[in-house]
Amino acid sequence: MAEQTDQDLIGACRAGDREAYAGLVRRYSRRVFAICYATVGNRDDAEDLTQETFLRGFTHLHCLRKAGQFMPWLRTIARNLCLDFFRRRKRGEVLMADPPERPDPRPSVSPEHLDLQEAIARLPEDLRLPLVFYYFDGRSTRNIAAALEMAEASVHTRLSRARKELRRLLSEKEGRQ
Amino acid sequence: MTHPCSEREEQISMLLSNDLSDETRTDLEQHLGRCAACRDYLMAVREDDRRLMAFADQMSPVVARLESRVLETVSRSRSPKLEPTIQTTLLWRIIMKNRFAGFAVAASVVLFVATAVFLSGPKTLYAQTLKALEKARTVHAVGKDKRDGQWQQNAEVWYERGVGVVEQENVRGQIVTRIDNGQYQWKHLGGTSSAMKTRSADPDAMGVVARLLNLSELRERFSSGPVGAKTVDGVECKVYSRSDPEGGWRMDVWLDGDMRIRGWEKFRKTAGGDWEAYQTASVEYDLPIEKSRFAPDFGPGVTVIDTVVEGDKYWENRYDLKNALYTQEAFGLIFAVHQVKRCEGGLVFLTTSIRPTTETLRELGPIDSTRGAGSLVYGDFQLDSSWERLPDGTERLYQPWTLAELIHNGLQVKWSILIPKGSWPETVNECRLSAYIRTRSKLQEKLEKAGAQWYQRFRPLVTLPLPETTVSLSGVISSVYAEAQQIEPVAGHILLLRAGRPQTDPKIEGSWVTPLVKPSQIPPDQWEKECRTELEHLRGL
Repeated sequence: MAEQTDQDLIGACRAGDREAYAGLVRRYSRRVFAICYATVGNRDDAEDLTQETFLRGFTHLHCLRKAGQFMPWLRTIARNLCLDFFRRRKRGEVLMADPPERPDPRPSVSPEHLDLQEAIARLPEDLRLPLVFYYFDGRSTRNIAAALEMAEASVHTRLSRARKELRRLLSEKEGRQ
Repeated sequence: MTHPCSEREEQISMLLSNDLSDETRTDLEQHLGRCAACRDYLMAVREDDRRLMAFADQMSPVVARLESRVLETVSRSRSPKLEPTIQTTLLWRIIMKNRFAGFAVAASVVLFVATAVFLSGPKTLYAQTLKALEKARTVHAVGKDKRDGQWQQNAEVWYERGVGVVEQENVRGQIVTRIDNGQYQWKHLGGTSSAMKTRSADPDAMGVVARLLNLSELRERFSSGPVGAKTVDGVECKVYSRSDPEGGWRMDVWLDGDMRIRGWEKFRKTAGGDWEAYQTASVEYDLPIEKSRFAPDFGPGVTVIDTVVEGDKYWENRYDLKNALYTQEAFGLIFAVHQVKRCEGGLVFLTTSIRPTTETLRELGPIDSTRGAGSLVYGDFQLDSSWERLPDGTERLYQPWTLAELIHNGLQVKWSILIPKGSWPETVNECRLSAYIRTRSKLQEKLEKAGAQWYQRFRPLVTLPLPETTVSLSGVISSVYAEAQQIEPVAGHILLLRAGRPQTDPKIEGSWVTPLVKPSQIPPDQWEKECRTELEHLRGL
């Protein structure tokens, strides 16, 4: 059987086939996670926001006008949820990265990467977005340039600055320890 | 760490992502040979790169687990609301397991109405209509659109229980025919010289009923009782109606005394507030249909290509290595050039491919393109610019442009045009081809683990003689389109025609990517127009 297109899967979802949505989740989870992670800079929150994005996508499928535009539409949902998350956090409605009360069943990040994760979280968003899109979503710099509406050269500049800033943040942390 | 030369910082970043032009790359490499600060910086950036890559890899299980979490939540959530006007067509697609959107429209002539009624009114109406349809021995339906004030037939469907279904649709002036006997499907696009035989797209044919019964939750509001009467082809019918919440759209369905759907009509509101019909369908039952109607005969000169019998051999034969103009084995992959054409304006047209070797497949297993996840290839390639500096100091290069791409069970085929730039003589008799070949997925992992090289820029890879005859760009574009059309029924999900389109709506995210389309989604003339726009754009870069 041929791989189903987004349109096919969305059609099936709209007809009540939940399994079809699984195909879309598998297809785009990495990308949505990258968007959320790039925006909020925190893995735990990014996971929650990814889940919320897909859930909202499912329950609001009727709002999607063009089935071929599923991912861009999902991206808008993800971005809006992230912005909402920031607003709520500002109002103190959500706490950032609470230590889990129970042992976290999720795959853990190795200790050497914990600092890196924290440093990525501290990057300003204009540097974090290209960095996460490049490394976590495996996008080309051309693709990122188009997504962020900037010149490809600027993506490289930002990637350089992001790496430099990460290095600075990590050495700063080492200095403190 | 010492600071790199400021003008080189960005170039070093570009070096890592292979985004440098050959000229700048050579220049940078020469600079790195002289400048220790930049060398140190490159090493530091490489280390950052490695660390970030490793961290990103660690996220893979996170994402995998996240997928399960999302799916669990979705399975517990309420059902999505439905867009009624879209829903029926989509339902048909699921019902018939039809993968091709174009045909869904044709087929929906019959079932558009069926689903609309089934999913709507009270259960009794639903059940009765369903039963009536099940009993049908044959169905013949015709769909019409109103264009420029005139009704024009856009689709016709014949169905006979136990025999099969024939769908014909007018897609932008081209007649698309699909015949399905429950075991095999034949698809022919009007004006082309071949038809494709594949496995049936709708093995259940009219087994719509059982599936619909499970979809009762999708019921939409249809009038619970008839709102009027109408005579259709001399048969007295009752009219059921529904309209969208904003009242700008209405659909009437006509059911005969046996509760069989005799037709429907869709209306929209005019500026003056009147209802104007714009789409209609009429349905006839149990009329004899000539058996020849279901025969996969598409007229003289049309050859049926049997992809069922040929299986993977079909692909091997279509893009075979034996007749390739050139092959190069590297890293467990085989790169091949199948076609080279001299095209007007110094352009060079190429059909190239890459596939895993038999040994790679034996070791790492075959790739099944139908799987939703996982890599579709063990390796891919990019044609390179073959940049050269000439003895007189001028330079010349090719800008590669991919027109279309096919990925099927690990085989990747690209149809490309090389655009000459810089200083070229009036007549060129050979093409110096360079390519960047890289492994992916398990093959890449295997080579990386072994510390072996897993990618390489071959510059040049081969010098190919150009044929004496020059072909037109239009000819090339239309031949790629025709080939894509022919392949689509077999590999429609992965054959991608790339067309450059100027971004029209900056608000639509995603419009920045070069859109990937199937031939059925774009008429040939529009594609050619877009190709020419893209070519102009690329020439101007």
